[in-house]
Amino acid sequence: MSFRPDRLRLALPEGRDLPMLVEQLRRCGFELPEMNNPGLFVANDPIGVGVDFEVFRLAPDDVGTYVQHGISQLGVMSTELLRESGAEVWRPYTFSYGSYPLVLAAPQGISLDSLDSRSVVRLATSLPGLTRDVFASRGMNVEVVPVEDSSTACMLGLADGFVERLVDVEMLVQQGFRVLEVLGYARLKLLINRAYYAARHAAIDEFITRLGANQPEPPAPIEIPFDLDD
Amino acid sequence: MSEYLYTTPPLDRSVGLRRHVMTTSMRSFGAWGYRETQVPLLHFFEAIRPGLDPDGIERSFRFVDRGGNLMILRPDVTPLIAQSYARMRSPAKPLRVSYTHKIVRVERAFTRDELESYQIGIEHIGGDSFMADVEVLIVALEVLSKLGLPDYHISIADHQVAEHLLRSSGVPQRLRDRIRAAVIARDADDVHALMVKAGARSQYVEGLLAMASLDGGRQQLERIRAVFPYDRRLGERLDYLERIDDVLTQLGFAEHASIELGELTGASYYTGIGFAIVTEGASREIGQGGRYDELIGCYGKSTPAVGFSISLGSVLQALEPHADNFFDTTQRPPAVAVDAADPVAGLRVALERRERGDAVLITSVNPSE
Repeated sequence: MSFRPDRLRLALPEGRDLPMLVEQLRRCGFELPEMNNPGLFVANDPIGVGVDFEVFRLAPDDVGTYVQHGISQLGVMSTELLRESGAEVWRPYTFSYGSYPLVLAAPQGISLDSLDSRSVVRLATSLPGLTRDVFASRGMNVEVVPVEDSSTACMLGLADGFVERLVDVEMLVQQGFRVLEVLGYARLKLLINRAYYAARHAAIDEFITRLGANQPEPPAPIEIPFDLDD
Repeated sequence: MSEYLYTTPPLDRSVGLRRHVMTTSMRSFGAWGYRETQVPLLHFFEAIRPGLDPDGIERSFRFVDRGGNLMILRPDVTPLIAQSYARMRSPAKPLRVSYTHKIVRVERAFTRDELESYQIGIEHIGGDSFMADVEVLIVALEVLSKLGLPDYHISIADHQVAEHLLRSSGVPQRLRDRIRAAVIARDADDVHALMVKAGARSQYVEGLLAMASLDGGRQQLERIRAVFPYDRRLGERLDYLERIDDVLTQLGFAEHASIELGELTGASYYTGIGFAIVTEGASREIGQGGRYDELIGCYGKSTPAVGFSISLGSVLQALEPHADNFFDTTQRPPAVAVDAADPVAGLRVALERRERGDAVLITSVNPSE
């Protein structure tokens, strides 16, 4: 796990937020390709502190593990995935985009009261830890079904509702679902391995300053499709 | 079902590395006047429960013995030493003790949960607070240096400062725990959102934001002092930390130790300074320590104390890539050929060499099988 002191590795999450991240990094001085392919891309001293950056992409839920174990000293990850992974890392910077509501959704016509009145509510989710914590604190008897595609699980009758990050509102509505409740918000954070910060704080501090100075305008907030008949 | 990692040492160089860590640490502790002590593996749960960290209890192993008593396997060493000290009739003050002990509790390791791990550490009981705090930090720094760890660092926080600010802010307990977690993660945005949600006064929001900042050292102390210029109690604690920082800097330790008020990790029984030890190459902190002035009082007469421990597993993870620095694997002892059909002559030569203190490696000639 030893690492050249004049280099920092930065793991970016694949998916929806990757183009925005690449764009913000370019504004900070990184010469990066589109990052459509896997591999390490080296940016030579992009922020003028004598440190090269190796930038690479990863599955979004793996970033915390790579940063905690020091394979990558820096990473970008959404808070709900970070919470599920339990990775012990610092998260000193919040990106202006990548903020999504975490919602409890169910087929149109089902209300929160009708779910609550059932002896057991079965909820599909790719976020089992968060779902258990939220409903346990309310004393609600919830059976969590851990699946990757929770809306399909709900559509085919595996669950009564689902808990997920709301990214595509149109798709949710087209599939006949409505939001019953917003449980919180997921935010995109910069992660730092705490052991590596001590020896490289000058470079990391400058990197955070650059990110702050080159923040894109935040996108319009997502309009949440509640069931208005509820 | 969880997959647990048992710590039976593998038959490779990690056994030698373990020995290196244990001997180096205990030798340093001894040289600073810390005498080795031992505490039992098995305890009556109710007898030691008052001083145990709630998180430690949750991760511990308890069972009912044949007599119907609820027993616990040693989940942490410090509370057990505190209990032993409280039972002593006329203990020495200060008392300096060291230990290397296996503890049994669920611990998150590199890839899976680990049940057994080793704690190696010291406790300084009943001495002057300032001198004891500094001494324990210096001993820790010496051990880390002698172990040959890469880029190790001690981050020093203060649980009194954190508790004082959180309590005075008027934020309810439920949110205080979340704010503390956000401070530890240096997530200033989360700290701000939670404090504002709880309706905390702006002065306290500023104070907690300063704690969550990546800027440690004097700068951080001054930032908090500027927000609370008339808080005498807080000012005294900040002065105390400044004195510690001063001494460590003057002794040349500034590169490896610094004030970082956000480092509020560690056991819940810490009441004064608390510190975490990290090094490149280890996934988790490799050690922690702090002042625990109320722990001994859970078992008897209240006595101030401070200590620290390192976790053997995490230290080994960091040292493993550098193991060749500690062992010369190319050097083997000179061979003595022993004829299996008539071994006495050859073995006599081997014994003579051993008597002279030389190393020997027996090679068998004409083996019977």
